[in-house]
Amino acid sequence: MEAVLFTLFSSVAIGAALLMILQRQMVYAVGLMIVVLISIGGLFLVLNAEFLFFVQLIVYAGAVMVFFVFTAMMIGEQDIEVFDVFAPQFWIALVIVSLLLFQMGILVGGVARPVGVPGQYEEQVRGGDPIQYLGERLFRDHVVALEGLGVLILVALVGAIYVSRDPGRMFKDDSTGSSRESAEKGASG
Amino acid sequence: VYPYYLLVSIVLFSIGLLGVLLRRNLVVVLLCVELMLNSTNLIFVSASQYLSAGDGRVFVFFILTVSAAEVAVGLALVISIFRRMDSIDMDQLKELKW
Repeated sequence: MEAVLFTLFSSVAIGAALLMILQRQMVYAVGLMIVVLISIGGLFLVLNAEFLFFVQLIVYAGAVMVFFVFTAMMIGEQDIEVFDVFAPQFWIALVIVSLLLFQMGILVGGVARPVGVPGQYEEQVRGGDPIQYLGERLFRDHVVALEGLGVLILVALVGAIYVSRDPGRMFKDDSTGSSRESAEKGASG
Repeated sequence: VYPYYLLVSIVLFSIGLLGVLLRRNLVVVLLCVELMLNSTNLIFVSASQYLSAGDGRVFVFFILTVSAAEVAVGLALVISIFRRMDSIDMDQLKELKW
């Protein structure tokens, strides 16, 4: 059963990812990315990480992808060709990525198991809640990193608002205002 | 079963890297960065399950938060670039080209 679910989710994830980078219109690419994320969440579920599955659904497939859809809708469909087959970068990138895949495949095939000390996750969780375990680890052992993440989120929030503001709307005489803004001004005036 | 999870992860990572290097649409490039981060998450969770160590599951949260922050700033930059150049084609961003 586990092997069947693994094959199903992983093939759907890889197929949708391939379709995504071949997709010309970005709204379809975002839709295919949601399929990839839900499939990876299914793999989390097969790996007994139920809470991470829900986090994947809510945060990634929900919030982050809605962000992408909003941006794609705001920008509108652009007529940009998918690949430039005649550019030398295309073939260089293809060679580099296939070499990297080959190297990582050798590593996975040769080593076949991670280097590390086996932990006691099963023993620590047994009789308790996996979510409780995660919360205790996050808020006791990694609390400094967690606070750092809070600062990072705050900085990203302020930075995103600052970067994406419309200069033409903040300062009336700003000559760096966008062409769309000046077109609107011209239409109204 | 564990090597197969690693295999799926590296294939997804390679697809994401290919997208970042080849695509010219900025939004799709950001999507491919997300795909690369997610394949790393898959490695973390499968290694955590294989080694029976809980740290992998905890680290997924950190990657998740960093990627959310990256998406927020990245999409803001995309919108800013679109306002300035009326295009999100990577080939248009060549003012710094030497």
